[in-house]
Amino acid sequence: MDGHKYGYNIPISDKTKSVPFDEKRRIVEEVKADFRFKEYLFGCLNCGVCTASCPSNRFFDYSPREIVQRFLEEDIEVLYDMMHEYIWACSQCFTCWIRCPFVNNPGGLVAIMREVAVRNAFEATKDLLKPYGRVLLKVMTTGNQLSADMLQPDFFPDWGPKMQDNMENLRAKRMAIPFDVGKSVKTAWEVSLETAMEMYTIWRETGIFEMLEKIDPNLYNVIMDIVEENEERYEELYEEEEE
Amino acid sequence: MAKSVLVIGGGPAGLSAARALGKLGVPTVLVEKENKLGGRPVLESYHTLIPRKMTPSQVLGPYIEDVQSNGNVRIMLGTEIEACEGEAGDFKVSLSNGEKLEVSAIVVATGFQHFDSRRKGELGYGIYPDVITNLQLEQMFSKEGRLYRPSNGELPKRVAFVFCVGSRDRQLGVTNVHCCRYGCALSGLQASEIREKYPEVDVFCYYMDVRTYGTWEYPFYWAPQEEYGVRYVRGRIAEITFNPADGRLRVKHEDTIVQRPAEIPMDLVVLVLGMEPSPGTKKVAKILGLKQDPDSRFIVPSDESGSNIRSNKEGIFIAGACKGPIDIESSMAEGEAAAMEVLNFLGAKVTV
Repeated sequence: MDGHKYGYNIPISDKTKSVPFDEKRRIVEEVKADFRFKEYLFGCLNCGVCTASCPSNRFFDYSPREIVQRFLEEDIEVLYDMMHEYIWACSQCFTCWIRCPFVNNPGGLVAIMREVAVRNAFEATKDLLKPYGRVLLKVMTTGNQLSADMLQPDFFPDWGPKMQDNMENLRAKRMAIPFDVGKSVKTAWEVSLETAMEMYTIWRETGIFEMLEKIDPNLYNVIMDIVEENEERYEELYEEEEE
Repeated sequence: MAKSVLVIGGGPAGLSAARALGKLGVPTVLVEKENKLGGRPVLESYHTLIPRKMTPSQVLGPYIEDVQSNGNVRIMLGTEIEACEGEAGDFKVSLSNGEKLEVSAIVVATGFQHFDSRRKGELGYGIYPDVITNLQLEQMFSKEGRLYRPSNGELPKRVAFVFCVGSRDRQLGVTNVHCCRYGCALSGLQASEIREKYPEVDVFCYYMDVRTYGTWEYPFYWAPQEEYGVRYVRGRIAEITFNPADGRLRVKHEDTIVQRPAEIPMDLVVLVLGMEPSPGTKKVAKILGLKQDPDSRFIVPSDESGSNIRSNKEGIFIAGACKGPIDIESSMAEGEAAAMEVLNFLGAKVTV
């Protein structure tokens, strides 16, 4: 079976082979140093309940049991290699976690691995996040994931010819919705400036901005422009209230 | 006359203790909650017992007769203990029938209960009629003498045994992390019985590992495969579903040896039940102040003695499945060991 990755057949990519071992070890150690790690990994009997329950396993070369086993074996090469493609097939449904008889959390381990991959600006994360640029922009600036103005015919060719009509007079159409939708086409619901400030504080304190800067500097600049603009508006409002 | 000994529980361990004490001339009161002696194997109509492939009446019948015919043993059926005062050598025990007993020593043999597999919702027990327990399979054999699918009464073409249901499972909390000890061996036996009687039925055992320890290895692991053609597949069943298109069940697992996910049609699925302390064990442990395992709630022996028959309370002895999963013949041996410990405690002189 070509490219089949189950079990001990996981091929190490040439790229992973070319990375110095100490660097690969540093990355894996960073995963293991996460405070959640010891709550996510226990003993494993290779019973296969996680993999049998895994929806991604049905469609991709991805097996949660493999994640647990590689951590127990401390297989640095494979773990490092997995972080570039293999782990991104996980749908983060955590069925593995609620089914594992020994309460291992393969999905949780994948979540930590992904965060470390993003923090270390792996090439794979840049490629993977590219299609989500618009969503990321909306989420990080407004806290909304989708909004009316994100509907653009160019982006949704499969939505059919009516899409063009739907895009026209967006504002009027939205106002016609018989319940409060924030009277805005830029957000799905209204986001107060105070809420936005709190959100930016979270992004800043948790290092999300830094993470983004490494992966997508252009998107980072666009987002920071909006963030700073909002912060200035907030400052002005605050000063007015003071007076 | 010496004060008597109280044995709580009329199953394999309690029967063996009462029988031995009675034969040695010790006045004994045997209290049993149910209206029949013999414990789970008799009450629940087990078909064939591991490891000697004998029936409950062959194994326990002579013990029940001995106890019933011995003048030293007083049997009280349908009776439970409600309270206990006093100390070793002078216990005052109140019974559910209002009677009060004065006894020198107590043997606790209150046993286990089967796991309630409705707690593992993903296995579909109680939802799909063709998902049954290994206890129900025993009763199919012993009461009806034939194998059938409860949904339509027909002979199944394919039967699956699902090991470790309610055992070795942290998803159920801390209470069911232990191994049931009997499940692998009994499944090997039941699977062989099916194949022997119905060679046209395919039988599969889904296991994580097979724990047919000691001398059980050949008769309950190799013989099912080599003599009876039972198929062993390594992988724990993740879920059981029903396909209305063909009216058959689907067992979902990963074959962890060939490393491939699978969803296999089955006509009858047998859940291999774990063991838990019985409600009686929990109740008696509380009344008598016996030390229990903090997780499983089974009664644990005293730390101060090498004997695993002595409880943390002087004058109170523990035997059988109230201490954890155990097979029937070991349970009977523990009952007899408890009788010896009681004699030692009483300082009784055995007249020859």
